Amino acid sequence: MQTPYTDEAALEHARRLAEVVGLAENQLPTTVFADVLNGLAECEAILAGMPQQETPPPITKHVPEWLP
Amino acid sequence: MNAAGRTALTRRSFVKAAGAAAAAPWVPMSRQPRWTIPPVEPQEVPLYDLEVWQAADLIRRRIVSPVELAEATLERIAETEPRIGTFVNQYPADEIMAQAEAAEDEIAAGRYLGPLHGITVGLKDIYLTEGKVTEGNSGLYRGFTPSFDATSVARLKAAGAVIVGKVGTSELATADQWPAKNPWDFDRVAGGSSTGSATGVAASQFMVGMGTCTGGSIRGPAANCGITGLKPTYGAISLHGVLPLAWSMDHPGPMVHSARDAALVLDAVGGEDPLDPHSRKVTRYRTAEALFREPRPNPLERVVVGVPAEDDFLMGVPNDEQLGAFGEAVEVMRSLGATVRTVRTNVLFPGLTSLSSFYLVIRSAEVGAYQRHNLLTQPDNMSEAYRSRVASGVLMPGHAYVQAQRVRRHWRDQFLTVFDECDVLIHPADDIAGLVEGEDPPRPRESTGSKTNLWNLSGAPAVAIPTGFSEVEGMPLSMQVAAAPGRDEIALIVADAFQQVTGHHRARPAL
Repeated sequence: MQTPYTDEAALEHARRLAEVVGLAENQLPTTVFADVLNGLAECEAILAGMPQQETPPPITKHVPEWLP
Repeated sequence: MNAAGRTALTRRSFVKAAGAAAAAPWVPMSRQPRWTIPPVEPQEVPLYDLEVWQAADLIRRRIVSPVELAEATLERIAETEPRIGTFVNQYPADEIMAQAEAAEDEIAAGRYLGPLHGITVGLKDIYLTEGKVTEGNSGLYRGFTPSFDATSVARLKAAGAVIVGKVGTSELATADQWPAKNPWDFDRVAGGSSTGSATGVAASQFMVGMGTCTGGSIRGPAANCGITGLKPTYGAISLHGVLPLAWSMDHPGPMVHSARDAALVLDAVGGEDPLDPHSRKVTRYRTAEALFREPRPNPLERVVVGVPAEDDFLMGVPNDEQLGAFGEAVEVMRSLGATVRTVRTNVLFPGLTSLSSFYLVIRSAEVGAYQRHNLLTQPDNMSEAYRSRVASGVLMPGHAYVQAQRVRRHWRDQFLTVFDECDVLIHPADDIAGLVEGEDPPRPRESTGSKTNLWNLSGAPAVAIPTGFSEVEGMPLSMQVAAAPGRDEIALIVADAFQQVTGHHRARPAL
């Protein structure tokens, strides 16, 4: 697993992505983004740890499909 | 513990009224009554301190009028609001009285609309209200006046409720806090994001505070302020006309004094809404009926109450008094005839260090989608905290959201298996209300993590109820009663049974 993002590293990452999506400096995330990126990395690792054919599909209904 | 309040109703007339109420059962307006509320016990409390079901009984039988309740409420608000700061926009007194008079006229004409007729309600300022400014504590919506009511607001009005105003919220239910005071201790936070909904009910400024909850915004402030807060099953109450934070985790719900009150509100506002594609295909909820059945000696007989094992994630709370009160609550459940079963929850599994790992990705993606245009055009109207949430979602690639929703499914399907072993799961609140200025005293242990967002992520119903008071800090303690998705009724039944024999929910702050 890659080194977790710090807030500073996440901001640098945001600056690089911002060029692609057209955000200016005053539109960048200064908090939270590191937690989001680190959370995503954890999600990716969980899914990568499963046999691909057994990985779950995304939730499409927000209460379980088996709910009566 | 009750405050010695003053109302427009004289003490003698109220005691007389309550005594009369004890003489006959409450029969709802159905032509063929299906259930009854047990008689209201005589008690010396101001009108505004009553629970909804008690006031409903008195109003239906015209012992107390909606006008009397509205007058007492206005007096209470005038007395307490300068010290609490619940309201963003308290409606003018003449508008409130006009609603109450209309309710009174309807009832006098024989058109009683049900248990919310004449009951006072405060709305979190993210519920759209026709002709009334709705700002969500955000610069993005300064002066915004909707042209329609949220479905739940329309249903409250149709039920005859008296709306007293819009109340404070964290910025769009997530970021900058609303600075209302905790009625139990002005040096303590009330919690968010449904801040005003909680403080208003706790200070008896209205009987129902409509809140919303994406990660704990109903149950957190309810616990902090010593009231009852219901986050129902996802889709039970329409999201139409509620400013969204994250559609797949947003839940509207009532903040009240008791489980009975919560059931009455759910029944009135819940149910399928063609305007909300996520609303459940339930025409009308009827959860209250089961709570008002004839009292039985062992009301929880045949109910299996799950209690997390000592080392379970859900028992990893930092406050010993929360744990102590919860231990007593477990014994109360046992005394009510419940089968208490120790269970182990799969809140975390190998590789998953926190539910935030997928919660934050999902929240950012959804709020980013909703607010992207505003981020591009008016970023200065967002606080730094809110802007960061939105921008994080805008910057994430599309597959990130899908990956998080895949892990969420994997987690949810494991986690909800706990309900194969029990009908309800109870667990203590994480901590007590913190100090406004921070620097709380050190705790004997760290929290294992949020005890609220798991119920948003799973869509399962959970109700927070008071369990007593901290002797050390004099603040309310709380626990949650949760059930499998769609089983709101059993969660409310268990919460109600507990409240009927403990009475912690009857405490009111001395203001």
